[in-house]
Amino acid sequence: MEGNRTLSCLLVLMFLAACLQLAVMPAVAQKQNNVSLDTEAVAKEVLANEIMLYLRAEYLGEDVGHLSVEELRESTSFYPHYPRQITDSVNRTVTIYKPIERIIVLNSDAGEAVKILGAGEKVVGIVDSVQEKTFYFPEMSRKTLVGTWREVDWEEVVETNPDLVITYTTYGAKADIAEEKLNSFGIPVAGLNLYDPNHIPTEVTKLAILLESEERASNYLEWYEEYKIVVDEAIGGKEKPKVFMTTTKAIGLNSELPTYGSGTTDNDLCEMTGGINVAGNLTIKYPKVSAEWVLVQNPDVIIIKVTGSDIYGWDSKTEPKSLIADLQEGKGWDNLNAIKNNRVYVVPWSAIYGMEQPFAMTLFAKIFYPELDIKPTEVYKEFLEEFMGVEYPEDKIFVYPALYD
Amino acid sequence: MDKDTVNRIMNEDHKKISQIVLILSITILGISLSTLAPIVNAEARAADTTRTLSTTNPAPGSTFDVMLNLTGFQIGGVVETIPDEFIFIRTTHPSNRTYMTGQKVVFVVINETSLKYNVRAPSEGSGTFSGTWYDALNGTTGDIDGTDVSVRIAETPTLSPMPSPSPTPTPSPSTPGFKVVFALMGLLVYPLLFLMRRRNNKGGSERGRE
Repeated sequence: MEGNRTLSCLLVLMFLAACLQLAVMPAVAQKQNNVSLDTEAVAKEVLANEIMLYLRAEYLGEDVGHLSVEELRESTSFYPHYPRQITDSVNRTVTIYKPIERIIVLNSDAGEAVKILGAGEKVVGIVDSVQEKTFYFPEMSRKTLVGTWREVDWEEVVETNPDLVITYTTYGAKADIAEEKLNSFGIPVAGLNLYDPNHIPTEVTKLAILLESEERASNYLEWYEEYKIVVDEAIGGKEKPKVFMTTTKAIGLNSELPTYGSGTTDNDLCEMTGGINVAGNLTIKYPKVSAEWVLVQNPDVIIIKVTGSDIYGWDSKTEPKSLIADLQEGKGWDNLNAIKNNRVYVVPWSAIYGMEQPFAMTLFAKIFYPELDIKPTEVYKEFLEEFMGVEYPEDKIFVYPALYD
Repeated sequence: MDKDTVNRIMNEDHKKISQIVLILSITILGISLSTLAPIVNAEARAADTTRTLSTTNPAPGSTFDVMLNLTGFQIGGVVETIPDEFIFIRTTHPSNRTYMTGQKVVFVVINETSLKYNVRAPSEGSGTFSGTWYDALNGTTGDIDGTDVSVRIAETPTLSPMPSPSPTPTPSPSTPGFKVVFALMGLLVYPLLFLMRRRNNKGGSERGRE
């Protein structure tokens, strides 16, 4: 009798499970079909084109490049989610035929973006600037080093066997160089400038398509846009201060002080946040000017960028304070508006440029317009904790002198 | 309550349980078979393509339809070879998925179940349409049976109407894991039932001995 009961119970459970199956299957099917019309349209076009090339080569004997049967089989199995395709920032077509599992990032901005898009664990290769940013990348910084952001060991890249390599288009290992080195190995290269304040939303959207991370991108971009609007509204109609931007490399020099001309990220950021870059009209992208030239420009604000990938603020005021004093030394700037009004600020480079743009935007806006009701460090805290998954270091100084209590 | 009464009640209970078990198992089997059938069909049905001509004896210079029925694969292609002197005219298949060179026409297929094209017959002659299908998902290929065509003599050319092919919507992806498991579970019902009954019979004789 006991055995019969067990069997009966088993059968009842099977019956319930079968019913559950009927209830669940449509939902599962709907989830699997959850692909946007755009994605499906691209997938259809790309896959059709690849099949056409294969058939022309195989059956018509034409000399056209094509995927192998196995590659086509694999890509077809992911249809309509794949193939995926974007035009990167140097107008190269980047096609991905299957979900990406192995990524190499050739700059830290790409590392940040990949992490924000939830694919940090897929990174298998990095460069020095990612390795140094242990605060941002506690895990990623330990991955295989394939060179520096300027000089890449392409053999190491090939050996690491990535599905995708992400690089800049205009600096370091440019996308066209990367393509030249990796094309014969069938390794796709995406050239994306994930530092450019004017293009971050576009670049993130493109990368999200390749990584199948559209939802995460949407979350980030919503946050990004929110602060962009806050800044735009806050600075509207106000008198713009004149700004001179330089780096710690200017310390000890009276001539050849580095600054940022038209077309630089710094110039764009300054203009976006309501400042007038005194070097913005200079035709050279990274001009060097004299202390006298700065005196003539008489900026209302001076911003000193502290360079170095591993600089994430300071533990005390001592260092940034001394940097300001050292910069002024021997330059005869006592009568500058910025000096007279104590409006010389020190900011860490690493915490400003890249996917942290909302922090940079709010920080610059607050520096230019101290009366604004914006707390940039709160924005940075959101960035670190919500998107980068690291704890905000409450005791760190990210701008000196402090903009608010 | 004496021992016989207890045994009788137990036997009645057992009968009821057996009936319930039987009904349940039939239900499960039905559900399982209904879910298993499409899988078996899909997996057992080899990719195949057949060709139908609106006429195999076209008039000289007339245009006739060639229809391909595509079964067993959703994504892939077809390469058709048109007999010499016969001329490919047009197709309703998307132009970016159609390619023609010489007597060969390549069609890329994504979820279509059929496609049509028009061919113009020469003034005289005969030949055979042949072709190959390619299933991209399984990486398999196969030949399409040849279709003979022969131009009839002294006929007035006619243009056949060309109905649109019928693309089918992308089917919902199946969940074979679920289906197979439950189908197997359903099929297991009968051996279980058999074992259970055998055990019951055995139990009855033991009780009978008591």
